[in-house]
This record gives sequence, C-alpha cells and structure tokens, in this order.
Amino acid sequence: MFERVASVSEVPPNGRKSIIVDDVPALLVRIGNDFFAVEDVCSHDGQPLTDGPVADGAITCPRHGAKFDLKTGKALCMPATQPIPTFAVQVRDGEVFVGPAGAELPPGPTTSASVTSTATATNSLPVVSVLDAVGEKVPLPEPGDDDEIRLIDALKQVIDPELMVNIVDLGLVYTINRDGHKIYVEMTLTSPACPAGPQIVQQSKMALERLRDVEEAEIKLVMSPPWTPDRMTDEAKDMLGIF
Amino acid sequence: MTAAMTTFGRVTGFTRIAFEAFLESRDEPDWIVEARRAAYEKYQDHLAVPLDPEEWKRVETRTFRADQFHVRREPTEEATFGSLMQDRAEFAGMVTHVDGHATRETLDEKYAKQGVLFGDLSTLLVEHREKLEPYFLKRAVQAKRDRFASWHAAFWTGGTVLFVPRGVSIDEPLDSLIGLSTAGAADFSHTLVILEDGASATLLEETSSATADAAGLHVGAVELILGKEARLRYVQLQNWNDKTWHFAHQAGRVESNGMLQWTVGGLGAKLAHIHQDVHLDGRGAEAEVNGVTFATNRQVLSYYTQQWHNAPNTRSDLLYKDVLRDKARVVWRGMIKVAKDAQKTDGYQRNDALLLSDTCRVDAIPGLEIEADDVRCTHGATAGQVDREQVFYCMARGLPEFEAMHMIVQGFLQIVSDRIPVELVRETLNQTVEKKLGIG
Repeated sequence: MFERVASVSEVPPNGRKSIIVDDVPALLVRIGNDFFAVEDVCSHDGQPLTDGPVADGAITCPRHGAKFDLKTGKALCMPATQPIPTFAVQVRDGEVFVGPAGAELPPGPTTSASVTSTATATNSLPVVSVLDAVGEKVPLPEPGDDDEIRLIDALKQVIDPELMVNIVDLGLVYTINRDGHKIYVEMTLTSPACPAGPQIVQQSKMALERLRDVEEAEIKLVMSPPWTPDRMTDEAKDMLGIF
Repeated sequence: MTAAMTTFGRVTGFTRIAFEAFLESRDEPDWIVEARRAAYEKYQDHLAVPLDPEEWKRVETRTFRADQFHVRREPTEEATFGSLMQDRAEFAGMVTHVDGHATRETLDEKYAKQGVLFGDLSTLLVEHREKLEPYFLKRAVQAKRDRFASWHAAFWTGGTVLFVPRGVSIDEPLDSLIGLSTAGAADFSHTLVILEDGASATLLEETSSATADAAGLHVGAVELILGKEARLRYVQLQNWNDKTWHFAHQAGRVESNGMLQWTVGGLGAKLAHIHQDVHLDGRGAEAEVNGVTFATNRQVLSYYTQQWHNAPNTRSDLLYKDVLRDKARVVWRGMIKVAKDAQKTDGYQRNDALLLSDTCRVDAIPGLEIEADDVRCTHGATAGQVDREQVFYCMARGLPEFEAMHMIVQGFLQIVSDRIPVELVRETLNQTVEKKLGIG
C-alpha cells in the first residue's frame, strides 16, 4: 500500500524529510530529481540515521560511520553488517508516494502518463557541487602560489598513522585559508569514527604553527562531504595498492 | 479549539484545554488540584527539552503521538478482559480498573477491620489523606523527575492502593487488574503500596486490553514503600495488546531488614518503557527483582533498572530473562549504585536473552557505580540463539519441532520462574509463554 509522504516541492534537491511509513520511522532523501526512502534506523546501533551525511548514493550513520546504499539498503562498510530496509518511491503529479519495497503504485485516475519511476541510482552525485557551493579549492595547490604550496608542504608532514600516507595525498584536506597570520583549515577524516582523529588534528595544527609567518592555525573537522578513496592522489593510491 | 474536540464534546490530547476540562470533570479537593497544576507546569517544562538520551536513545518513540489519546471522563460499563489470574485463586481482595475508572473493589472483612486499606486511589486518597498523602508521589516516584513522571502526576486517574498497618500480615494474595477497553483511551493508573513496619502482603497486578486492536496509552507509576522488616511480594504482568504504548515509573523503597520481591512480566504492548528503581534505604534491606519478557512481531520492550544501595549490609539481586522473536527488540539498561557509606553491599544484576529469529535485537547494558570500598557487586549479560543441536536432539527423541522449541524456551525461563514463589504466577507465565509460542 502506498502512502503519500510529501510533495516534491517540500524536499529540495539533496534535501531530506523524516517520514513515517507503515508505522516505521523512515527517511526520504532526494538526490537530484530522484527520491529514495529507507528505514531511519542504523542496523548497527539501532538509532536514527536522520542527520547522516549523504554522498555517492549512500547515507553514513552520524555516530559510527556505517554506510548504507540508499537504493538497496545494503551495508557498505563496517561497523554495519546487516542491510537497512528500503521502500519503493514513486512520484505522481508532484506528490511523493512511498510503499513496500518492490511494489508498484497502482495507476491513478490521471493515467500512467504522469507516473515517473524514480528508484534508480544515478551517477550525478552531489559531492562535486557541494564543494563548488562552498567556493573552495580541492586539495592540490594552484601552480605558482608559493604561500599555499608552503602551507600544503607543511601539512604533508602529517602522516595518517594507520595508512602511513600523509593527509594531503590522502585527500583529507579540503580548504586552506589565510587571514593575516592566522590559517584556517577545513579537513576530514577517513571515517567519522577514525581513532587517530585527535592526533591528526593536533599534528596538523603544530605543523602549520611551526612556519615563521603563521601565528595560529585553526583546524576544523568537517564530515560533509565525506571522504572517499577517490580523493587520494594517484601516488597515494599506488602506495596503498589501489589502482 | 474545535480541532481538539470530537463530536461528543470530549477533548482529546493533553493540551492545556484538555487539562482544564480534565480537572473540571474530577471534583477533587484543592490540595490535589494544586498538586496536579504544579505537575502540569512541570510537564510543560519537560516537553520543551529532549528526553534524557542516556535513557531514551535506544527507545523508538518517533511514531508516538500523544494527541491520539485522551482520558475518558466516564467509566466504560461493560468490558470483559482476558484476565490471566483473577479467576484462578482465592484472593483477600480484588480491584478492577477500566479505562482509568475503578469498577470493582473488594476486601476481606477481617483485614478491613485491622485497618488495611485496599481499593481505588482516587477515593482513598481523599478519605485517608493523613495516611496516604505523605507517601503519594513523594517518597518513591518524584512527580518532577521527568516528562513521564510529571505527565502522570498531572493526569493520574486512579489506581490501586494497598495500605497495611504496622504488624499486620495478609496471608492470601491481593489482585489488581487494570484494563483498557476503548480505542484511544489513556490509562494513568497509579499503584501505591505502603507496608508499615513488620507488615507483609502479596499483590498481583495485571494489565489487559479488552480487544486486540484498540490502541491504548498507559502512563503509569508504581510506588512500593516498605517499612522496617516489612515483606512485600509484588508481581506486575504487563499484558496489553500490541497496539498499546506503555510508559511507567516504578520505584520501591525498602527500610531496614525489609524484603521486597518484585517480579515484572513484559508480554504485551507495542512499546513499553519502564523506569524501575529499587532503593535500599535501611541497614539489611533486601530486594529481589525478577523480570520475564517475551517480545514478538515488532514489539519494543525497554527496561531502565536501577538498584540503589543507600545503606550498609543491603542486598539486591536482579535477574531478567528475555525471549525475542520476529523483529522484536528488547532494551535493558541496568545500574547498581552504591553510596559511600553502603559498605558490605551485595549487589547482582543479570540479563539473559534468547533470540529465536535472525531479525530480533537485544541491547543489554549492565552498569555499576560504586562509591563504597568494601562491597561485592557483580553483573553480567548474555545473548544467544537456540542451539540447533538441542532442537535436533529433542526431535530425535520424537518431539515435534515446536514442542522442542517450547521446551527450550521453558527451560530458559525456568531459573527465573523458580524464583517466583506464587504458584499461580508461575502457571500464568507458562500459559502466556505457550500462547506467545503459538501452541497454548
């Protein structure tokens, strides 16, 4: 049985809405023009996924970093091993309907002309656009910008203790900004639960503050967009044996 | 305002309008009304802040809508309940509540003569104010404690009172039945048991729904207050239908050398969350807490138990046994708290879970907080599935599979069942387990 859960205009692209389907708390996620609905409970710790970051068609649990495919519900990484239930989503006349997985919305009085089947994964991912929206440069320095190269070189001294690759080549550093003698860095970790997090942050701060013209460095950890192996340089991929 | 009224002129939900209408319908003395008003304000304060995540983060309340329920103003005349216990033994007294109104009260004459009070809270609290007011929502359950406690304190509808004066002992068990019969009805019953020094009694309480599909709400409280050397055996079998929401604060306080034996059965409810506190306040006080839960389908049964050792030489022993099937979920969070001067404490807590399906889930989190330095405190939790070899063994002996399962579940619950001293309760539990297994 399909229930109307939202109108299309209620959920902006890359937005989400908490809904209740068949007495189960669920999350409706919109990626571009596609809608997905999953049970809003992490199969690992049994608590809500509601505010977890969404990227590459997957949602990440905000507590321990478990990742689930929004289309299939499949658990993509530890600590989760079990999938989360998904629901079929259909859009008709600007309204979003959700029903049991695999079900089809019976054709309505307006005939099937306006029925759009949407539960398909796409490759048009929001990751790039999010970065663009922030208006920042992705890790690698622009040629000829000496200051930035120096800052990046300083950060290259910080090594992820688990992977033994520096944080810049891993693609963990998102933005570096200078305001006089103060440096602002936005960076991420390979997973929100990364045990080496505090150590990496502290070392980054120290590495920058060691520079002559830097008085203070402020390191901000961001989890959105989440890190993926694609962010690594080829060199780093080689070192880790990823091709 | 029209939206809050049904065509019968009955106000639903728990808004201020509903609260005023509720007060008006009750005709109570000022001191009770004042206490209710204070609690309602507290309830509003609590609503403005999120629930304590430590207690609530594993309990799924997102589908709960308080405004779908209301307190019924008039008693429901005819409703029959599948009582598990009422007709099966001799009782010294019986009380029945339906949709928050007492429909039957009896007490053996010989105990009434000795000063025992047993009956409906809403009348006894007025008639015996001097005896009950010092205890009601003051000693064991604090009205201001959290959202559900103050919600209950504002809207309590009645409930069972048992007051046993000093030195009196009641040999036969007493029975209390709390029923919900109407869809959308809310029960705010309050169980208040006071045993003065040296008194003893056994109270069996049961909750039940008249139909299988009427969604109900229970926001309850249980207060068990034992004087010196008092002995109480209290059993509560929660057996609502699986559409009912059950929230309760339950607390016991035991004075020197008192003995509380408390058995909790969690069988029904869509979602049940019970905050259970046992306070051992006097030297040598003892408490034994037994829990049996059987959750099926999408039931969520959650227990937040705390054993407070506030005095030296106290002993507490908590044992919960959970059986789960389908997509059911049981959460148990236990804590033993030992105060600084509660030396020679002996505290134990244990939770065992038997998982009958791949899709059920149990969260068992035992805990200890010990400030004294000469105590014995232990805790443990186990979770496991039925051993296929055991089933195979039974089947090789000629038992059909369901009977083998039944035997294994029964065996799992046996340890806690052995600790229940009342034969009737043991039988009742076995019967419900069979029903849950689909063979009773």
